[in-house]
Amino acid sequence: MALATLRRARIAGVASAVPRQIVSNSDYGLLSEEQREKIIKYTGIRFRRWAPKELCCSDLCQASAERLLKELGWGPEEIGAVVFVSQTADYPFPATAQLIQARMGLPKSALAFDVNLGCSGYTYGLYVLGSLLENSGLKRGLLLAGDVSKMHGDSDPASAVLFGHAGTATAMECSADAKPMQFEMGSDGGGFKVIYVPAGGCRNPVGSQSFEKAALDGGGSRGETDVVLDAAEIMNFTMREIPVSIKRLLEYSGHTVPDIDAFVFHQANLFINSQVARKIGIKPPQLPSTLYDFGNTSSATVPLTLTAQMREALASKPMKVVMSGFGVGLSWASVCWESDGVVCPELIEV
Amino acid sequence: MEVEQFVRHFENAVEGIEPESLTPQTQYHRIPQWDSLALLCLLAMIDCEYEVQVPGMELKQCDTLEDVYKLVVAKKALKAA
Repeated sequence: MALATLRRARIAGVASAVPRQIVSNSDYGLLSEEQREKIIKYTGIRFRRWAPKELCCSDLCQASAERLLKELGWGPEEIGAVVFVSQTADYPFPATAQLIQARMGLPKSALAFDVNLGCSGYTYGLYVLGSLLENSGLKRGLLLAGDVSKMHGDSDPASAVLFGHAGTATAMECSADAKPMQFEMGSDGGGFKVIYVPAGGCRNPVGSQSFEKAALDGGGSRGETDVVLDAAEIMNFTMREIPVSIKRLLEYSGHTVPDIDAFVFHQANLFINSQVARKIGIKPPQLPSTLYDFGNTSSATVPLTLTAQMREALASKPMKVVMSGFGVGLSWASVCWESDGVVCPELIEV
Repeated sequence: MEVEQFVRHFENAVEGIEPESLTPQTQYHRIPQWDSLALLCLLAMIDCEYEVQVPGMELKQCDTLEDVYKLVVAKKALKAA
């Protein structure tokens, strides 16, 4: 596990965009009504936003970034770096960050690259972009995070009711007035098969057999291009690593649990998040959630929660916030920071 | 007996089970309440009450609640070693 501090980078603003279409887990046909309600109760997920075929994650991130720059009063020419954190790029290559650089009219001098992370991607991305700004002499940058994944087929009840779509933008800048941001990060790639898509990469290219669906023990079916998700092992991973990560981060940053105004966790499962909170001693008012309305939007869950649940509070007063992303990889990253005049536009619908 | 306490914890953790309706010999995976969410509840209870994690694959080898309890005891011993 790595501990690190950013001393000159600050979060200037956060914006989030979702597709207009709302899907309801109450309508999922492969489960009985009783099963659906039980899953909604435990996961916390009733509604999800779903993108039409032509809408990519980069479109949602771009909409967020353009609104955010406008509200910050920053011009595109001021952006020195853009980092796109996603597992749903526009194309296999080139990196989507380059496409966004051109579409938004960001300068050709800007650094632009993608980071392939999911659940931990937002908090990891803050460290990547913040470190880059601190060490490059660049003043301002954009972190774009989210996913529009269609790799969870409707035929597998274990994953079909969990995921939604969102794209976010976070503006960071180097400032002499920045307050320290402390990070705790780690990786456990030995557990990668807990959440993965078997086919589609070089290890196992897509072939005609990839789309054949095999029946699952618990009902439903799944092909090789669909996500494999082992909820029990995700639970074990989360309970093993995340309370330790957050306790270590709090110790490193010199805080205790009551000092923190909000613990913004990756939004994957309400039951699991409540178990993590219990282990750390976090009270329910400290634990905002957007699972009910948006489900699991991958690397977008944390900034989407800032937008949908905390934008007024962030605008009105400084807040001490711990954010933690954990999951696919397996990978995790937690950050402790103090907000300071964060610009947070209303949720955008595209 | 501690295994009896484990059974009570199981009954509390999994939704819809009558108190004191199960025994150490109960084949937990055959009760009507058993599903993927009950599995999460069992894992959470084991983490909360016994402070160990039990891999799902090892849990699948267990037939009765007593088998699960023995696995938990073994994990605790391994952790303490």
